[in-house]
Amino acid sequence: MSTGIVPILKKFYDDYSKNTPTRLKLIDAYLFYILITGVTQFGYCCLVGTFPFNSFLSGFISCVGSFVLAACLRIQANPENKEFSKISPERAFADFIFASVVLHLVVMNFIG
Amino acid sequence: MDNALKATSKVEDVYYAIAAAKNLNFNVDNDKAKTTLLEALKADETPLSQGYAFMAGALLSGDLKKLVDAVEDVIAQSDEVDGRMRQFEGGVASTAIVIEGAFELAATADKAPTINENDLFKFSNYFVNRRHVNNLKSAFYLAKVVKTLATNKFFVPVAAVRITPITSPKVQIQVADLLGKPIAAASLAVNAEHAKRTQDGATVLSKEKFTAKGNGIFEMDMQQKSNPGKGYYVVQLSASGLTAPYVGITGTQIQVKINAEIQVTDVDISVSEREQSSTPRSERVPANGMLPNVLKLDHHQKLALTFKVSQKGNAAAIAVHQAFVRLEHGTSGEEIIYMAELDPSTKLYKMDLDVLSSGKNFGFVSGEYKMELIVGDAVVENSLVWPIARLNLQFSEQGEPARRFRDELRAKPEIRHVFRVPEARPSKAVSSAFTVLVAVPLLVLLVLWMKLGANLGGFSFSPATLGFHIGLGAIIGLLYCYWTHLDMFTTLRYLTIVGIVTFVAANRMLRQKAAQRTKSAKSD
Repeated sequence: MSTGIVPILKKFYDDYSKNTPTRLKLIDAYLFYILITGVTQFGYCCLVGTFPFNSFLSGFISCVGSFVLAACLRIQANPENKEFSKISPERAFADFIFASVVLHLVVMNFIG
Repeated sequence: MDNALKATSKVEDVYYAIAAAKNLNFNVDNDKAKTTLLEALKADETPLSQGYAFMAGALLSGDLKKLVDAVEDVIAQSDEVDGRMRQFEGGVASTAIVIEGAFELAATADKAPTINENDLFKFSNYFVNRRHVNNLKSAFYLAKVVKTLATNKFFVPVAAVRITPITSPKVQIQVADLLGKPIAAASLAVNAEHAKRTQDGATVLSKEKFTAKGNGIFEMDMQQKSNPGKGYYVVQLSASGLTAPYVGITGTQIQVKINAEIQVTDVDISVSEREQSSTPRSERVPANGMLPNVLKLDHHQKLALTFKVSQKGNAAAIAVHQAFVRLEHGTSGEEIIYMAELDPSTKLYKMDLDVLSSGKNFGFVSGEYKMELIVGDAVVENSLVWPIARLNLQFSEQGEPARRFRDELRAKPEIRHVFRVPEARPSKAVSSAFTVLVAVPLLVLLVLWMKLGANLGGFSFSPATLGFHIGLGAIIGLLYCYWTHLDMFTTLRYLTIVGIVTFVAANRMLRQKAAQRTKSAKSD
């Protein structure tokens, strides 16, 4: 191929830095944080075994759930998404907060 | 009492009235009493009422023909039980009252009661059988009727009962009435019509006399009279010179058992090859002892055993109920029992043991076995178990002695309970390290956000915003409390309250934000 993988990544990164609104970048940072937290948890479980399984599950589900909700928020807050133009970013944020509260309640219940 | 003699009274009441009047020496109008009695009887014709009527009639005088004739009909209504007893429905009291009434009536009318002798015996058997009564009324009437049956002048049933033990060949019987009083009439003689052996029906005695020993006791020595040999015997009796009113004895059967002592002799054991057909040499087991040497047998050989059972003092061979040969394994105690068969030609008991074909029965357990003779019978006094030899059997295959049944009943090995070992947990160092590792991304996030330029510039200090942030913090705190010590219900309650506050605050705050945004967008 005339263009290798590294130039593609570099182009992607530049494009991303320039064209993405700050708001979305914040959310992306949050997503990244959730991601590495989840990976760390999973690595720990692989290392030391699944006991107690419920605690591992609740932690992991918390990461996964938060990731999903943040992703939804990002989608809804992205002005380029025409389908979600009816939903104001505030409404998306409120949904995000509400869903997170419910998620964390369930996680706390399950963590044991 | 005159009132009691009304036409509507029960028979029982009429009887009580008449009896009471008689006891008090009142004048009773016989005819009126009779008609009342008969009318009451018409209304209630059960045997019990008839019994009361007989007893009442016995107290009256005059023509009692109707009642006397009724006795036969009433007796016909009784039920036979087991072919030996007769009774009326209603049990001891009813039966006793009827018979008592019949006899009392007979005494007054001076005419024997119309009861068949056989039926009377059956009634007597019933009374004797029911002598353990439960209630007072039955006891009273039972005692009354038994006394009447022993002392009346028409029929006194007597019985001959064996008073010696069943195994005594000198048989003694005693003749007594229902109350147990012996009948010592001088003219009474008891005979044995015949004595039959139960096993084969052979008659061993016929028309022998019993010797009178006084006080109603009669004796006969069966051994002396006929020497019948061992077995169960039934002696049928008859009596002569039994004067009226006594009835009975004839047809009674007495059981006698004559025991014998046996001896087991001529116990011969021989070991030979399977293929060998000629009679092998045999060894005789010493009397009351054992063969001194252990007989070795393997699967090429067979063993033959013969022995003779006879009565002491008589060399003739006899048969007994039980003639077994028992083989017990020395170490495991397992046993096998063979039946010895009576050879009809030689009249000796024999048993053959073919080692090859009987291996299965032994479970192929080789080793030393003890051989015993078991000889017994119901009429033998000295049934015996006699160890006669030791055998060493070697089977073609090897088998294990089966688990003995008793082993199953012994205490099983103790079970030590082991609590579930908790799963291995990682060491504290590892888990602490990972806790830190999980917290680290948070720092990374904050750094990233700062780099991206997140700031609190747009933070307005309106009550809505503050309320929202405080509410959210409260929710997080509540979740932490839920994790540590609360339960779901209280948490939900608090959550509802805080949630509503936070929601309202959030609503306001976001509305303000939205208004700001549209304002700035418009102004752009």
